[in-house]
Amino acid sequence: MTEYVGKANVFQSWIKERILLGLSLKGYLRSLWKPFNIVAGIIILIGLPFIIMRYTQGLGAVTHASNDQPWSLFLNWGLFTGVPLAATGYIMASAVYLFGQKDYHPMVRPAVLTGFIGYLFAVIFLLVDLGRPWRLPYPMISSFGTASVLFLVAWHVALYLSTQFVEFCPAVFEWLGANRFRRWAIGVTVGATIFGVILSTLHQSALGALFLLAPGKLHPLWYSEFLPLFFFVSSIFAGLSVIIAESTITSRFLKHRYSSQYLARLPGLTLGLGKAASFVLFTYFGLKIVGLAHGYHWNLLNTPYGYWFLVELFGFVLLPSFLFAFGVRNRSVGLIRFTAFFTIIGLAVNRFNVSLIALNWQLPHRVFFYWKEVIMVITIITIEILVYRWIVNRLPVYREHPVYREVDFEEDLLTKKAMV
Amino acid sequence: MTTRNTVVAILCLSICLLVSSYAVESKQTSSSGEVPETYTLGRLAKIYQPVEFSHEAHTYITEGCETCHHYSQEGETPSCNECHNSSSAKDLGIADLKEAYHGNCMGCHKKMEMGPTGCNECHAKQTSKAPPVIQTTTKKSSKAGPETLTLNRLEMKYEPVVFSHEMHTLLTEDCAACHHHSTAGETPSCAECHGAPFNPENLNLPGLKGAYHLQCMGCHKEMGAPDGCTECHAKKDSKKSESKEK
Amino acid sequence: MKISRRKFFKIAGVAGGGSILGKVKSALGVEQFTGWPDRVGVLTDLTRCVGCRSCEAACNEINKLPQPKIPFEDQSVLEKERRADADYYTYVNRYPDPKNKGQWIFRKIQCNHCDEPACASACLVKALRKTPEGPVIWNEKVCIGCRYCMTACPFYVPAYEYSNAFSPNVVKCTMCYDARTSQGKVPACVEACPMEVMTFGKRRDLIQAARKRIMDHPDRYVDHIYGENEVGGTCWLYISGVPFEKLGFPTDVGTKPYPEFTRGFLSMVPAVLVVWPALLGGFYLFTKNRERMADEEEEIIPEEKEE
Repeated sequence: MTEYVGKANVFQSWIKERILLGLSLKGYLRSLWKPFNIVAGIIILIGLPFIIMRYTQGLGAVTHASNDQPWSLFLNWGLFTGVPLAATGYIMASAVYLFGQKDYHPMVRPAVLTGFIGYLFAVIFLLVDLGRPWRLPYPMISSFGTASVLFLVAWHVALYLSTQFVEFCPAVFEWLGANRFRRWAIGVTVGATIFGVILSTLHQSALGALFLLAPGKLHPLWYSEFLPLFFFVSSIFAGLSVIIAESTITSRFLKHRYSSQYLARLPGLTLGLGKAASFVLFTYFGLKIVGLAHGYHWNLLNTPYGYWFLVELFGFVLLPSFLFAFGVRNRSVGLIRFTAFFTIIGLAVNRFNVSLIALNWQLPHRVFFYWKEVIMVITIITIEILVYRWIVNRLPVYREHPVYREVDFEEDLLTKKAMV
Repeated sequence: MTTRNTVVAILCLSICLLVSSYAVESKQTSSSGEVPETYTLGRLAKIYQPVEFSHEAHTYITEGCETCHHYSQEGETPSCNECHNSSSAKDLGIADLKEAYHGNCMGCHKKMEMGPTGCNECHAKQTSKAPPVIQTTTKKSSKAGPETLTLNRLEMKYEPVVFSHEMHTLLTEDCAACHHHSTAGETPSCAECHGAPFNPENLNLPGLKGAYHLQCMGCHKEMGAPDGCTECHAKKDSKKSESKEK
Repeated sequence: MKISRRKFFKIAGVAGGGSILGKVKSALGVEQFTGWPDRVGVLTDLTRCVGCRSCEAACNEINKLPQPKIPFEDQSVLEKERRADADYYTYVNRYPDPKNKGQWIFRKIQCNHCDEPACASACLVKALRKTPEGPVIWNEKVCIGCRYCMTACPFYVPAYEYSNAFSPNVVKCTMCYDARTSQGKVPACVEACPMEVMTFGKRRDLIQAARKRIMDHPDRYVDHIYGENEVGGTCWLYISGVPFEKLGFPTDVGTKPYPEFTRGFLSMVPAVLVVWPALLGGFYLFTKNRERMADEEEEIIPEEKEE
């Protein structure tokens, strides 16, 4: 065994270990030939041309955004639905680090990663949808329209993305083996968590406040002074549902990445999340009733839009809250998981109602659905999933890093032994 | 035969010729060959109701046939169409039939200050509620103001507007119908009060262009007169790129 | 309660920084619109318009807009009710006259140049602004193309160049700001109109003139100046001979200026930035304290057991 190890060899072995999962390049590429990857590849091959078309022929070629309805299905999914679905990070981090729910500690990293990827891709959706995407940093550096709610959203999404990254940094540094940086990252975790909750409160509610400027355009049943509050509370149960859904999928398809303890504890944790989601959904239902009473448009409930509103309220809010409660009572993890998926659909329904369906409800000739936009959305979601999987396959997200398991600073944060 | 008899004979013959050549238009040819009382001229039947021309009335008010049947050889009363038809009019260097009719009739009407001189007074539009075909009462011209005004401010883009002040004085009862808001007895020109628009001292006072159009078009709309843009402003073929208003 | 010095500074830093950020935001942000008393406006008298489209032609010429497929002299385009489009700044629509069957009333539609524009408050890069002279204009240099202004405008005014891939503009009437109104001159459409449908002047003078006109001809006009109070007041005013809803005007926009709708929410931002760090920091410390006490008890109990 020679003492001399060339630098190139070290680098090569680093790549092999960290990136190629210990396989040779050939072996790695061969291992990619799996049904899921093939399907994903096909989806991307179909969808990528449309995304490129946006940059060659303009938005009009790939969306049905119009002068009356400038925000079409594509942006409404990417921003208004994608952001609350990425609200996982702040919920889990605050639950564990601020409210002392130590049991849920293994769920923090996946939740933070989901949040980070979710916000990152919300920015990518924006880069496709904005008229001049290279000007995305303008609200931060160039010209400040401080009377605008969207200004707040822009700043907070940018800051929150950074915060989520900082919160995820411990995992990154463990992967890279950078001890010092890891200790720093763990040290700022609590501060970052608090900052993340502040930012999330503001921008999740700001997404709702955006529509405060459209009182004539948004149907009175959905328009309310409480819109920001509705959006904030619904982001909480959306985040909880996404954590449950994501853990359901990954514990099935990425089981080999889980630590056995986490896998064993997961059903119990899922029940706990279900209980929380049930509470929040009930609260949200109550808030919606308050909003209805405050708006005083009871007569509008007896119209087609009114019926749709009732479907959304009872079918997608009250029903899941009962299902969650039922599942917790009977300790049925399967029901909780199903309800989580159902709640995600319910959140999407609500967001699409506010931003697309009930907006401009008085105009004739409206187009909601355009197949090109749906393809682009599916493509970007597929890329999102692939990126998530790539990271999870390499970084200690669902399991603890073997080197750092003994020296667990994160646990020490919650006890007096921490001297960081 | 005496000259008078010759004249009468030629007159009858001419009338027969006239009647036969306007067989399409006329409805009241007399079988005996006498001069018909009225002629119904319906060539523009598509757009206008037929013109009922009272030949009888005109024979009474003229001294001789040649008053209308001018430039004819002695004793002859040719129909207008004989000389002013489309083929010979050019050779002779004279007006075509339409110009001849209008020039002769309207010219006399204006000169004698009797008889209709407005378009609609003879040609009622087919579907309009315009005044009757022939006005039985003649209006007296006040003799005030010019006969026509040629408005050429937009000469870059449009042919000049020839405004018949005379016709309008006949159509209206009172000068104040157009020269409104003026002191009794005075008829100031439009430009005397209506200058540049948007005067902050009196924002409700239109400028000259607005005053023209608001006054004219307002009445035209009610009376069924021309109210489209190009009916007064014929476009010039070569349109200049810059607008030259005011 | 034990807390390390470093931890304390971290929490205080976040709280302090957050509160300062909040204060800065409120200083730069939601301001009261005091109004520029000499701002100009345009009064449009809808009893006069004959639909000749000279205004559209003049606007097209002065702003060098693309030539339309159907020329401006052709009034057949009025048969369909048009909406805002990226190829024109203004357009004329016609509506059936409820007083005279078979007749039409024509209405010119363009940006209303609101006194407190929803679009200007919506724009996150201040690309849209209300000028002291009166018109609301758009700045191409900073626009990012987010299209929030289009969602915010209650009159559906701004149009967008969706066919342009890299420099799509937001398209709306500028009241000829660069060429005319910034120097006190008359906008092109106002000047071109043969019927003098539009009158140009200071907004406060126009309101007086409109009131006088309505008072002098009570049978000719509906007693309402559209834009006097709608959405807090607009600089483009309308008077009409028939009720405004018959002419397609949105009559449910209210009199509250649109920026007021988000003011309440934006005012909450500094409050959250100050209270949340304290609240959440408090939760954290409370939790940590509880854990520490539980650990201390654990240590005590085994000791007791030993004894």
